[in-house]
Amino acid sequence: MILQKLTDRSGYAMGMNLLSRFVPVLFFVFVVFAIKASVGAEGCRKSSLFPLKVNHLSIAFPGVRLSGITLKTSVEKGKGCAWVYNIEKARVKKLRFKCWGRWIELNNVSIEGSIQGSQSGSLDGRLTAIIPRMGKIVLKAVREQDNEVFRAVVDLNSLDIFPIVAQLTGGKLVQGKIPLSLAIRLISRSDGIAYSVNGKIAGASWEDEPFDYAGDDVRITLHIEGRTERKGEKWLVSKGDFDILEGDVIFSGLMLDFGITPLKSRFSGVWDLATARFRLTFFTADLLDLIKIRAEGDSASEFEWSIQLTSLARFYDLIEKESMHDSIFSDAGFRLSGKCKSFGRFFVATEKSGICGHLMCDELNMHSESPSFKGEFVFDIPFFLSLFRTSITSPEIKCPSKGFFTAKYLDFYDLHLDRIDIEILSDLNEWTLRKPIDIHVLDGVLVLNNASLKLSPRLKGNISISTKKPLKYNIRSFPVHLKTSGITWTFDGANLRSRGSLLLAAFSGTVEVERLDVEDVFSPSRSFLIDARWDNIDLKKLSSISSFGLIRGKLAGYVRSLRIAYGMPIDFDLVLWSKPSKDQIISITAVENITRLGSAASPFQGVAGAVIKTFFKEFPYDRIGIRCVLHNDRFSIQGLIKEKGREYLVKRRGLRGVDVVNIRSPNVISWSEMVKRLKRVKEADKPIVK
Amino acid sequence: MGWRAKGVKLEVLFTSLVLLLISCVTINIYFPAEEVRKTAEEIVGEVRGAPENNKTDEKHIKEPQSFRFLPGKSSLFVSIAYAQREVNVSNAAIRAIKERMKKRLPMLKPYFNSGNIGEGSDGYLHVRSFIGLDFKAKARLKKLVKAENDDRRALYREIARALKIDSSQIGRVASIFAQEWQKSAPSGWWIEIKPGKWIRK
Repeated sequence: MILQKLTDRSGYAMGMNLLSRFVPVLFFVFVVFAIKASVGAEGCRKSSLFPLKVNHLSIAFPGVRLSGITLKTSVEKGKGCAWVYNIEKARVKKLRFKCWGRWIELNNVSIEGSIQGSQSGSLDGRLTAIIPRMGKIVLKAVREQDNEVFRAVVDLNSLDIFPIVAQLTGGKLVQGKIPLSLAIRLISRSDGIAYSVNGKIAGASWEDEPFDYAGDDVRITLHIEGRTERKGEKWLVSKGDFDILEGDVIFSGLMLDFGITPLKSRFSGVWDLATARFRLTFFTADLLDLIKIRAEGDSASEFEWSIQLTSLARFYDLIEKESMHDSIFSDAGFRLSGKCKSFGRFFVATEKSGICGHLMCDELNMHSESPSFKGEFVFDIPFFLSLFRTSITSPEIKCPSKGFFTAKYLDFYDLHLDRIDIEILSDLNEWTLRKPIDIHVLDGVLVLNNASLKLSPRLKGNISISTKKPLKYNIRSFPVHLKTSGITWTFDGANLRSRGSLLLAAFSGTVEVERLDVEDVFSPSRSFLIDARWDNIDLKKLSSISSFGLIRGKLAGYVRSLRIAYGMPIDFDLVLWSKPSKDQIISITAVENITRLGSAASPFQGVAGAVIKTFFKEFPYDRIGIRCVLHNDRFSIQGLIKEKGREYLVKRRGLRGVDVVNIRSPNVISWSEMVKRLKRVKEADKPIVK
Repeated sequence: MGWRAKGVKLEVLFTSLVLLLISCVTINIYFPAEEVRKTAEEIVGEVRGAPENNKTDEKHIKEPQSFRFLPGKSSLFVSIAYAQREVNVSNAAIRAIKERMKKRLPMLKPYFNSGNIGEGSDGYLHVRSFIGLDFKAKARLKKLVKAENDDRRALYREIARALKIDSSQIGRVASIFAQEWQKSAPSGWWIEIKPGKWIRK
C-alpha cells in the first residue's frame, strides 16, 4: 500500500516529503546511537566505529534547506573514553536559507570538522565550512558539563559576502566584493546567555548595472553585545555601534564621500530568540556636520524619531554638488542656510505603515541670483505619510494636523513683501491651506484663497488667488493696477495650468491675461505660456516709455500662444490694431522704426521724402494694423489693412499723412535679425533726419 | 408592438452604421519625416562638427523608406522625390540646447573613443560598459550621459513642437535623429544598429 502510494505521482511527492522530514531525525538518532555505542564499548580503547557514508541527502529546517548532501562520517573512541564524531568530506550541493524574506542560495559548500565528547557530557567541536568564491566560516563550540557552560565562536576571515548581498537585492548588484571579517562569541551559562559580535568590512565595493547604486572602498565597522537579563529569558538585550568610516557610495542619485562625512551610529534592541528577530529600541546616527538622527521605541510597532540638520548650507551643498542629476537650481546660484529639524513617529503594522511628524525650521534663508530672490522663513509643517503605498484608514492613528509657514520677508527683484503667516492643515499624504490669507503687497491686497498639495496616488496640487484691493505697480511714471476675481493654477507633477484671468489696468486701457501656464516646472527647459488681450491702450503713454517714437491714439490687440523659454520668446502670434479716436498722430521716428522693423518701404525716400521730413515731424494716420508671428525662429510681419491690392501697416489720413506699405507679404526674417533690428531701434534714440 | 419592434430595428441599424463609420475612419497623424531628417542633419552637424568617415556602415544606418506600391507604374514612379527646400527648425530653446550639447561633446569624446558609451538606435546615448573607469569616472560619466539625454529629450520635444508634430510621435523624431547621430559618429565609435546589437564604426 505504502509502496503503491510512493510510486504514483502524488504519492511520490508525499513520500519525498515524508522522507525529507524523517531522514534528518533518523540520521541524528543514528549519530546518538553510534556515540552511545562507542562510549559504552568495553575498555575505552581507541577504535573506529560506525563509519557512515550518505549520498544525496536532503534536510529541511524552518528557514534552512540543504539538498544534495554527500557525507562521510565516523565515530571513534578517543583517549579516556572520549568519543570523536568526524565529518570527513561533507559537501552540500545546495544550501538555501531565508534572510529578510528572500531565499539565499549557496552551492557546493564543503564542511569538515569533528565533535569530541566525553562520558561526563562535555563537548568540544570544530567545524569549517568552505563556500566557493566566498571564503570559509569556522565554528568552534565547547560545552563544559561540570559547570553547565556552553561557548561557541564563529570566525569569518574576509569572507566575501557579495554573493549573499547580491541575492538580497534581487540580483540587481552585478559586481563587487564585500569582505567581511566577523567574530561572534556566545556563552551560555546556567544564569543566562551572553554574546558579542565584532565585524569589519574593509575595501568593499559593489555596483548595479546602471550604476545607480554603487560603493567603492567602503569601510564599515560593527560591534554588538548582548545578554539575557534573567534566567530562562528568551530576550537578548543588546547594544552596539555601526560606523561607515571611508568610501564613496552612490545611492538614489546622490554620491556621498564617507571619508569626508563619516556616519557613526549607536543602537540598542532585543533579539527575540523565539522568532530570531531583532527589534530596535534605540538608534542614533550622526552624519558628521550634516545630520543627527535619533529614534526610540519599538521598531516592530512604533517609535519616535528626530532628525536635526546641523548645517543646512552644507546639506544643500552636498545635495546640489554631489547630485547625479542637474536640478532646477543648478544654474540659479541658489543658496540655503539655517537650522531645521524634523521629528515624529514611525508606526508599523501588518496592513499599514506610516510616518508622521513635523518638519520645522527656526530659521531658513533662501537666496538665488537668477531669478533674483531672497527670503527668510520660519515654519512648522506637520506631515502624515503612508509608506509602501498602503492605505491608512485606521482612526486610532493620530497625527498632528495643524502647522504654519511664515515668510518673515521676501524680495523678488524689486518686489518686497513683509511678513506673511500661513496656517496649514495636514492629512494623509496631503497639505491644505487652513483659511484664506490676505497678503498686503504693492499697495493692494492679494488673497491666497486655497492651496493644496497631494502626494499620492499621484503628485498634484492647486493654488487659487484673487485680489481684494488692486495691486499697484509703476512702469516708468505710469501706474499699472492688477486685479483678479479668481485665478487657479493646478499642478500635475510637471506642469502648472491656469484657469481664470488676471486684469491689468494700464495706460488708460485694459490688459487681460487669459492664460499663464508653466510647462515642465522642474526642468531647465521649462517654458511659460501666455495668452493675453488688450483694449483702449493710450498709445501716447505707451510710446512715451520707449524710444520707438511718439504715436497718439488707442490700441487694441492680443497675443496668442506666447511661449518663453530660456528667457527668450519661442513662439507668439501678436495682433495690434488702432481704434478710432480723436487724436491719431504718428511721428517720423515711429514711422521709420516701423519700416525698420518690418522692412517696409520708407515713405521718406528720395528728395521728396527728405523735404517732407524737413518740414513735418508728425502725421495724422487713419489706421494701424499689424500682425507679427514668431514660429520656428522666423519672424513675420503682415499688414492688416488691405486696399487696392496693397497691404498697409499704417494707413494715412488725408493728404498730409504717410502710408507704410508692406511690399513683401508675409515679410519673413529670422528672429535673430529681428533682435538686431530691435537693438538698432533702441539705440536710435533720435532719428537721423537729413 | 409593431412600432416598438420597428424602433428597435432602426436603433440596431443606426448603431451598426455608426460602428461601421467609426471603423472606417483612419486617423492619419501628421509626420514630416523629410523635414525632421533635414533638421536632424543640420543640428547634429552643428553639434558634432564635420562628420568623419561617414560612409562606413552606411548600409546599417540607412533610413527605412516607406513608399506606395503602384502596380504597373513602378518604373514610372520609382520613388518619392522631395523638393530641395530649406528646412530651418530653430528657436531660442533649440539654440540653448545645442550650445549645451556642443560644450558637453569634448567631455563625452574620450568615453566614445574608449567604447564606454555609444549611440543608441533610439536617439539617446547609452552606457555600454564602465570598463577601465574608476569609481569617480563612472559617476562622472553617468552624470554626463544623463545630462546629454535630458537635453536630447528636450531637443526632440522642441523640434516636434516647431514642426507641429503630435507629441506621441516624438519617438519617431528620436529615431530619425539616431540615424544622424550614428552617421556623424567617427570610426571607432560604437553604434547600436538595432536594439541590443552594437557595432564599432
